[in-house]
Amino acid sequence: MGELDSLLAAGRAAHQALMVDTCTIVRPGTPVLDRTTSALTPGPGTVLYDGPMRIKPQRTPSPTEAAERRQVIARYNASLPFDAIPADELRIGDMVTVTASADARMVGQVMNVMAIDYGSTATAWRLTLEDLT
Amino acid sequence: MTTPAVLDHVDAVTAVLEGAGLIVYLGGAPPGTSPTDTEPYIVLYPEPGAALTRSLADDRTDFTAVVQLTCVGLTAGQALNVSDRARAAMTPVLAVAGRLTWRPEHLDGQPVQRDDDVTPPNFYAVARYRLRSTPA
Repeated sequence: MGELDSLLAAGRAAHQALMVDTCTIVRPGTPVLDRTTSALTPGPGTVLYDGPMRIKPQRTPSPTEAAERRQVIARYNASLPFDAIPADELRIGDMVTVTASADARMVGQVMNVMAIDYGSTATAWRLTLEDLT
Repeated sequence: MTTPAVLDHVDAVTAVLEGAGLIVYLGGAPPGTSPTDTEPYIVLYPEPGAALTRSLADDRTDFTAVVQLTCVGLTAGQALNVSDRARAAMTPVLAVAGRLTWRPEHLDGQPVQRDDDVTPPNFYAVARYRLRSTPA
């Protein structure tokens, strides 16, 4: 193992030690519409990942107009273990649910995948998530 | 002579829509509100309307106004389905105290729109109706 490999392995191990939260990433199934009530019954989702995560907010919330009101989009950096392999390639809109966290307010929060980063010398697999307020 | 009030007519529209099990807001959705699987909604955007002369005496007691129904859903089908249910609810004459009303007239609409500014995207189905009434 070369010096760089050793360094990366140490960095990835250190980074993973910081992944004290856990999450699931699910691709929602196609919903079925009830034309009497307008209710959507979600189709069965596909679990793409279930494991440790580190999440940090980006300090750039941006306002937008949607759903006939002002909304604020908050973005988060999520880090998964560098060697995490999802069951399928992640896509925009895949749902990330925080399943355990030292910050109890985050448990159950649902965010959406907005961007996926790749890098051979990264210490984690980083995603950009989006949440609405 | 009573000057007709647009809010009485908006209340009547809200009542028939809510009577059909629809969620209705006026002039925008409240903070924290987004369409969900089970709670799409309608936002009403009424114009102030106009009091029209009923006779040569210039008694401006007839009333007309256009109200826009913006149906908000998580899928195009959900938004259109809410619009369908709203159209059915808007078929009878409206009950406005002290007024005789015409059945709301469906004027026009817009193609369903997708809003990708948020994730998951929102969909909008827009329809406009003309309301008319005269003193009872």
